This record gives sequence, structure tokens and C-alpha cells, in this order.
Amino acid sequence: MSPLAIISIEQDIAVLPMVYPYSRNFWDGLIEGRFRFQVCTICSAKYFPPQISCNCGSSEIGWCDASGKGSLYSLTFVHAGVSAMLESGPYGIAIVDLEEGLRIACAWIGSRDVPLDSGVELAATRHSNGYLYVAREPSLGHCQSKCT
Amino acid sequence: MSWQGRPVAIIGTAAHQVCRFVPKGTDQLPVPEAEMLAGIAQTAMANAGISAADVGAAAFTAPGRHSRQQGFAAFMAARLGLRCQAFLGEVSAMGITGGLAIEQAINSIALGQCDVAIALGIIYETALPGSTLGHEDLYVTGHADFQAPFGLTPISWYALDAARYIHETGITREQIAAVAVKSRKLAASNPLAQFRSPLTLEEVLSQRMIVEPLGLFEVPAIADGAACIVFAAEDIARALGQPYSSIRGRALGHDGYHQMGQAPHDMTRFPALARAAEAALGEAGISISDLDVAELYAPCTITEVLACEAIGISARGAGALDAIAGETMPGGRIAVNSSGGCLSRGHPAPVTALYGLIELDDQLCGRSGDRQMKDAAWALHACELGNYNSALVHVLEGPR
Repeated sequence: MSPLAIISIEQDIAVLPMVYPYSRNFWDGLIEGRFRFQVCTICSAKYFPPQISCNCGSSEIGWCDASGKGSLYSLTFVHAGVSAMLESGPYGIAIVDLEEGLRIACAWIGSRDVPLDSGVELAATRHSNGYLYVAREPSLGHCQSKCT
Repeated sequence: MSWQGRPVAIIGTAAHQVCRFVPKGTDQLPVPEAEMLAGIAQTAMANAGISAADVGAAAFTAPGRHSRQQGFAAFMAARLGLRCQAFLGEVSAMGITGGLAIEQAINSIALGQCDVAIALGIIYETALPGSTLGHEDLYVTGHADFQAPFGLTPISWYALDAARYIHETGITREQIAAVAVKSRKLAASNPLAQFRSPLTLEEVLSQRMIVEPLGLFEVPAIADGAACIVFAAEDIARALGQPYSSIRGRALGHDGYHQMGQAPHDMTRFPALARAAEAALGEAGISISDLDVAELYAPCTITEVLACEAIGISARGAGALDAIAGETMPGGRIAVNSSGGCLSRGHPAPVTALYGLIELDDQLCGRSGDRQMKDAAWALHACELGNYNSALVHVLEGPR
């Protein structure tokens, strides 16, 4: 599975996620361009966001890398809200249905006119104070030199 | 299954006009929360013809971080001179908070634990300096670590619903915005309403964007409110000799999502609301077509559209069209949000449900003046709604 692109973003993360021992594997994965989700080894249920245990009762949960490909379920742009997040203007939010059958919410970058149900891809974003993830239109191919 | 336990009626109500309690440009609370709510509660009890000593259960909406006075239910019981023996406490669960207070008051009577109960609360949002959206709100309306960092504000979830609905149905933002115009028209005659001056579609569409495709007048404003509803066993209501409305059905629904599920599902259908409405109507022994009025907790234009479709008031794709055609106005098929709804009556969120039930009680008892639905006999109240996933529905019957 080829890693996701890692995009450097000037803006700091304004609302930082808390990293716990049970979720560390996800956040560490982003640094390598991996978007990790969980699969229960007992019942095969898939999870994102991560959980400590499966709802079937098992604590034997394994990790998988997502392909990063998905379909755009919905998209919006926030113009008013938390002022720390609006310093560079309105920002995009997407709901993406990953091809592995998981629905996630994440940031959106790029074109504002992408029709819903379009194919999209995830990328990791590197900020001075941490990593997050975004969805965007599929890129034509990313140069290794941009993905440091 | 029909109503379980003793039948319950509404015997008195009171509420403050929805507005900013702290005027813009000042930080000064003119009156503390407890004193403001005490006045409202005393008016409601006087309207009901009862005294504080008669109240057996008092269910308060949790005042939250906006209130300087905490330990609120116990404090207010002392302030009002209550001697509760069935229930005394605060309730809270996001948008069904007001509905839970109503539910607790009803249940205390239905279970035979007391004869008279009050559901009340105050929200004083303008007490917080600046009234700006802080990080904390993101931790309520989304996963603290996997959604909050993306700035999923409360309104953004409604905007995502709207974008999806527009994509699936071809209905436009302009058509959905008709709900804002309709709401304002109805609020004109509602003394409790926050905004009452006329509003055109052009004015709605020209406002600054909040979260696309919802502009300033398609989302609720900052609002403070305080309200109290007095409930009694139906035989007491009958003995008091005034017209009263009665609760004939209730149901709760939840799909097990917090805003959205982990697997793809249709975010425009609101199945929890559909199930709860069907169950509450079934308990009351009526169908959708028997309803005359409905108050739906609909913070944004799109929410009223989707809720009407989920309940079956409107066909799929027709929620906005019905608003445009006047079908969901008094004089149409069913008056939806005749109060002016969250957009014009206002949305002091934890107590909005109290305002909704008061509007229905007024409609059923013929007190709604220019926005009266003629011969209103059956009403439905619903909160919260949609992907804010809890749906708590009550069905009311007017005086027989």
C-alpha cells in the first residue's frame, strides 16, 4: 500500500487532539503517511476513530492501513465559529466514505466545486505542532521530493 | 400501546420573551438567573391556580456553565418554597434537555408519585463575556480528538445535511431558505419571539455566510430564555375548570450515532425521529393526518425541512416546497413552528423545547391570535432532531 502524500501546512493546529496510549498507533501512522483504522480480530468489525476494545467485548483489535481512497459524501466551508481556526479565512470540512467501508470527517483542501459522490483521496498534513489529515481531489501523482 | 399511567395535563405556563438578557455593549447581568427564573415560575404557578406548596416534582434544565449560581435545582427549590416529594433535580442531554425536563415532570405524575409537577429552566448565554464560540463547544458536538480538530462547529453539521440534501433532491438553497421567511411571518404575532419584523427572501439570501450553504438568517441567533410549564393529573386539571391540553403519547428514538455513524448511512432521513414520531402517534391513537400543529426543534432552515419529511408531514423532497406553498402554515395542511421556530421565535437551546410545548398548549386552547390554526385539536412536539441524534416526541390533545 503506497503511503499517503504528506502536505506541509503553515497554519498551526488550533484545536489539538489528545493522544492516548490506545490511539498512539494512529497518530504515529500519519507521520509515515499511513491512515490506520482498526479491525477486531474476533468479530472483524472495523473501527474509526479507534477504540480500546471492540463492542463485541474483545480487546484483541488489530490495525490496518487504509488506501486513502474514498467518496465525498458531503462538503461545507465554515465562515464563522472558532476565531483561532478562521485566521486564514473560511476552511473546508468533508465527510468521506472510505473504500474500506468507514465514514470519516476531516478537513478539506482544494477546489470548492467538487460534486458530491466524487472520488477523493486522503493526505496527511504536517503542522509545526502536530499532524492531521485532509481529503482532496485525487492528485495526478505526487513527487517523492514533495513528501518529506 | 396506549398511554401508561395517569393521564397528565398542562395547567399553566409562563415564559420570558426570547432575547439577549444582557444588552449588547454591556457585561452587566441586570438580574441573576435564579431571580429571573423565580419570577417566571411564580407567574406560571399563578396562571395554573396552584401554589408552590402544591408542587411535588420540579425538573430543571441544567443551567450549565452560563450560570454563576450552581447547585441550581436545590437552590431554586429553596428560592421558590417548593416541598418536592417526587423529583427535584437538573436534566441535560444536548438538544433534548428541555424535553427531558418535560418528560420528568410528566412521568412523576403518570407514575402516581405526585399530582402537580413543573418543568422549567433558564439559559443565559449572553452572560458569557463576548458570547464567542469556544473550543469547548466543539467537544460537545463532535469527537473531541477525531472531529473537534477539524472545527466541526454545531452549525457545520446542519450545513453538511443541507449540502447532501441539495445534491440528492435538486432542491436549492433558495427554496430551503423559504423556511426563514415563513418563520418570521409567524413570529410577527408572537410576543415571546426574538425577531418579529418582516423579512424577505432577498434579505435572507444576502446575509453573510455562516457555514455553507447557510447564511446568518438561516441559522439561529444567540438567545437567552426562561420558561416554566405546570403539569397536573388530568382529573385535577378538569376540576380547575379551565381549558387544558393533555399528553396522549410519547416516545424516544436514537440510532446510536453521535452526529454520524462509522459506516455510510443516509444523513438526511432522521430514522430516530421517524420511529419516535410513529410510536408517539400510535400511543395517542392518531395518525399524521390528524395533526393540526407541530413544534419541531429546528435550529436551521434545513432542519425543519428534513424533520417534516422524516415525520411524514411532507413527502420526501417536498419539505421546502410545502413551506413555500404555505402548507405548513396556519391555513395550510398543518401549522409547523407557528411560534416562528428557532429562527424567529428564537433558540435558547436548553429551554427551546419548553417554548415549543407552550406554543402547542396555546394553539390547542385557542390562544394563538393571528397565528391560530383553526380548530387545532392534536399537536406534536419533537426535540432534538436529526443527526444530533436523539428524538423525543410528545403528542398532545386539546380540550375535548
